[in-house]
Amino acid sequence: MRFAADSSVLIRLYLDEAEAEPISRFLAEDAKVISVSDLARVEVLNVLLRDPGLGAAAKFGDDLAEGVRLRLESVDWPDAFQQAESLARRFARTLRPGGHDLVLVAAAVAMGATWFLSFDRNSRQRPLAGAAGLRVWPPLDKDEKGFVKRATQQAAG
Amino acid sequence: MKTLTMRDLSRKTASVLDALERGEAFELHRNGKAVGYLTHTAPPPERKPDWKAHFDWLKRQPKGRGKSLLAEFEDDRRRLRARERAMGNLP
Repeated sequence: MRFAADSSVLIRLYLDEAEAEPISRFLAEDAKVISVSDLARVEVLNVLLRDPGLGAAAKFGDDLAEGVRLRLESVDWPDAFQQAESLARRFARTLRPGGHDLVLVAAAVAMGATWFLSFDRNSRQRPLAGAAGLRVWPPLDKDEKGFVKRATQQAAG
Repeated sequence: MKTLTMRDLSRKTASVLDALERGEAFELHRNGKAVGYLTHTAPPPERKPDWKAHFDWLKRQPKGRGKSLLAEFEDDRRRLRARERAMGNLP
């Protein structure tokens, strides 16, 4: 199993203990390793570097270099963009995902992820990941499951 | 480190094993490319991620500054969503 994380999850590992509690429990179970794409790496760094005195950016860099908790995966970006186009062709009409959602989920697929971790419920990245065949954590809610069902049914038909 | 082809390995298996016992190491090649190593010593055990240590570190961090950066991240995402909506995505 490979766990790809959106920056909405990665950021919380470095900034907010209160919001990190559910992540902490999920990751500690089976000592999960998080796969990080360069896209997510830059997104997270872009926020953590705004307060270099906090030390979070340095800790994030150390964790990536160590490769034990976080593993920087090399993504075949031409392949990822082909995946993104394929997702757009299948789900643009039903899910209306944003371009950012398409690239994030496509990168997860291209790096062989089986899980997609994201707290971003304001976008369509979570249902899109579900429609792309990834397991999503935190689990999809009822509305999101409905989006996935309709999207996959229409894509199949 | 000596290199070893697949042909060498199959032809000289006994002498390669003798050399390994003496502590020598080999880089194993197939079709001109390195595919692995033969060594006398076992690889180091894979380290499991220690998330408890990580979250202990997080507990020691100043609370307010982290929350403020998190709020900035959420603002960034809201701006992104607003742009996507303006383009007709994300109903």
